[in-house]
Amino acid sequence: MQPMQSVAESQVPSLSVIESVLEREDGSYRDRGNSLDTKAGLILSAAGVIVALVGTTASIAAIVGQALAIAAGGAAVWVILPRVDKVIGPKELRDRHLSMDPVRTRLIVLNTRVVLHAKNEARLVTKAIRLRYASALLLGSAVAILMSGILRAAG
Amino acid sequence: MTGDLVMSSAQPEIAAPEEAPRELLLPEDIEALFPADPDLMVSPEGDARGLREVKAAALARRAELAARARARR
Repeated sequence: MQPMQSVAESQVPSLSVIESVLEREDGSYRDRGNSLDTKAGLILSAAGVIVALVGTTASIAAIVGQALAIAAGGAAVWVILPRVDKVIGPKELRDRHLSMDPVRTRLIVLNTRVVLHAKNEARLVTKAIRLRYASALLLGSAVAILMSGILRAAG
Repeated sequence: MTGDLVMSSAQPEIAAPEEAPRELLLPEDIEALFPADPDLMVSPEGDARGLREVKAAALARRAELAARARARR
């Protein structure tokens, strides 16, 4: 298909509706990304607290708990790593599209945002899966420390 | 004032040329005609690797669409 010089808005009647839905979606994934980062930060803090509180207790269960807490902290950092930040640069948009037909620009921006959105969504899914691992490791750590306490109380 | 009115009523009415209705564009046409522009993409938090990946994906999709259009022709 040959590149089209101009396109009428009547050829894409729902363009503005799609743009506004995408706008809301963009806000939503940014919130979800921030929420996942916050949860990962909490797990990282909790892991640090566990490692510090257990200290140098000479119990196998406590050492296992500490190791799991360190792993949970590592997994939390692993959650934070993928960034959900890809956007359209205003300067790049101005420089490349200022003199273009407006509907054409809107369609290029729409298609670019769809690609960015897909990438950001994939990153969010990755973050969510990693957060599950981090949570499971922290739970394992807490259980190991509990076992250590029970064993010490019993013995 | 009156002269203006007379002048305006005396002018023959010229009908505006009716623009032929253009056909609706389908999503695949939109994607092929106006593909995502990798040069517009930025990463405000400096994720260079992620940005490279997304730009590469956009370029690959652009190449795929161009190849499909060539094959159709």
